[in-house]
Amino acid sequence: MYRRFLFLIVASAMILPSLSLAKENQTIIAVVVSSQQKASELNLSAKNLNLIYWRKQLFWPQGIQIKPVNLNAKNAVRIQFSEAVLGGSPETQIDYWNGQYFNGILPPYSVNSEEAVLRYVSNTKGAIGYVNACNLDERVQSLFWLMPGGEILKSKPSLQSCEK
Amino acid sequence: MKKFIIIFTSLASLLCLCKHVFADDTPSWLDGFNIGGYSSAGLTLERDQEAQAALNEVSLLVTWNGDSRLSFFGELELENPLSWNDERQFHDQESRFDLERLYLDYNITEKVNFRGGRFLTPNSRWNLLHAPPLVWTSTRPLATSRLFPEGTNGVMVFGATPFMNGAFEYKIFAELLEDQQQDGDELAFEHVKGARFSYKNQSDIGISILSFREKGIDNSYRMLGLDFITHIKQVEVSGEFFQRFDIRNKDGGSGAYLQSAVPLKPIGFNNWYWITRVETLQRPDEATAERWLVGATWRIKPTQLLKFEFTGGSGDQPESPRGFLTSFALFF
Repeated sequence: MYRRFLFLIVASAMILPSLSLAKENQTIIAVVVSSQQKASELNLSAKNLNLIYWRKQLFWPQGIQIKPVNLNAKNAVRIQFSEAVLGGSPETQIDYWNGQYFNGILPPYSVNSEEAVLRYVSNTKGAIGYVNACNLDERVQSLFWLMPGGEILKSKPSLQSCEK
Repeated sequence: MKKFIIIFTSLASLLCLCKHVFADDTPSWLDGFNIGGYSSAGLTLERDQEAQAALNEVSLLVTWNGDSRLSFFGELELENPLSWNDERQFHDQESRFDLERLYLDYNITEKVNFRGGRFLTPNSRWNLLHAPPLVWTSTRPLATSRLFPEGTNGVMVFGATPFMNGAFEYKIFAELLEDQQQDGDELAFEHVKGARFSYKNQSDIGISILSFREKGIDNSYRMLGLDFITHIKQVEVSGEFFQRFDIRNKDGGSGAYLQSAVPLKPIGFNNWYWITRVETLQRPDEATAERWLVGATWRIKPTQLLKFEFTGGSGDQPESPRGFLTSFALFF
């Protein structure tokens, strides 16, 4: 009995820090469009984000094609975004994208760095992307802020952690 | 003629795939083209029959998305380009081209799109995703091919909207033109119209209603379909159920299947899945057909599957032979 109790204590001690570490590693993610874009014209609600990234909503209200961009599947920001917005890691979405390919719909364009996301979004008509909020610059504007717990905010949160 | 088609298709593919060597800021309409496809080949050892091997199909998928609300999709399939059996050795006598899908989509608003052309009848999950690299087994559940038309020539209105952290999708469609060509065992239908509503979240569920006339038995039917796919601790469980009613609201046939795919990683077989399926089909004036299937499928890559399965049950159904089947399928 005593041994089992001791085992539970040790196991909990090993698991709990890793859980808190996982949350600590998460960042605030900014969902961005070009700074040239009038945000009000997009009429985008946070609930539509998953439709856009599942590629079930393909057009903005003005009839411009939505061009979502992803970071590569191993990127920590991509994984955090995918789990919060799409409900699972990129690996769990393979079957879905194979099915979409069969129906002529390709997954969002994927790039290897946040700088590439910023360039793609700022230079591509109809593009939308996401980056670590600390890496925002004047080329883009943020529509939403995805918090480490998964909450999506419309107003800018404190970015004090970026100053560290 | 065939050589000409192959050469023409190859040239068209090359033209579309090759990009300009120099940078060009103005996108050409050719830039909107994407070409891909899938293929499968297999071996069938049917009970009391000779062994057969075949390259089952080579399908070409062509999409075009220009910088407008209009888009295009087409699927041209070369069925059974090459077969082998003991008697005839290698032959291409069953080879033929089939235009599986060809349609234009037009975006009306964010949530409303219009489709016109030939499309897969959207009343069954399996029917919408039937390509061999997308399904765990070489054979298709009987209920998904013997109760309703697999394709429809007509119009569709479709769209999606967010709902409770998931996506609610709708498809409403109607046939405008009957199939002009019937394949060997294919059932013939007309006056097809219906709707499908589905919800995508952690699990996908769908409900469909359909009305049509089956030419062979000269009767009109209405059909209700239900389908789902979910994951329970890494195990994929999926199923579909269909019930047809004739014009007097009497039973007009039914069918169902339930399938599971269990990952074998815990016992050391990474990317292998154990597949189990049970199915049933009841058509008017025909004996009930039942099938059970056990097998193993290796996902070599996300786009490649190697399948082994053993099928048993009652009743002869050409589309679901009883015995051992193996096949390899890939997207390209």
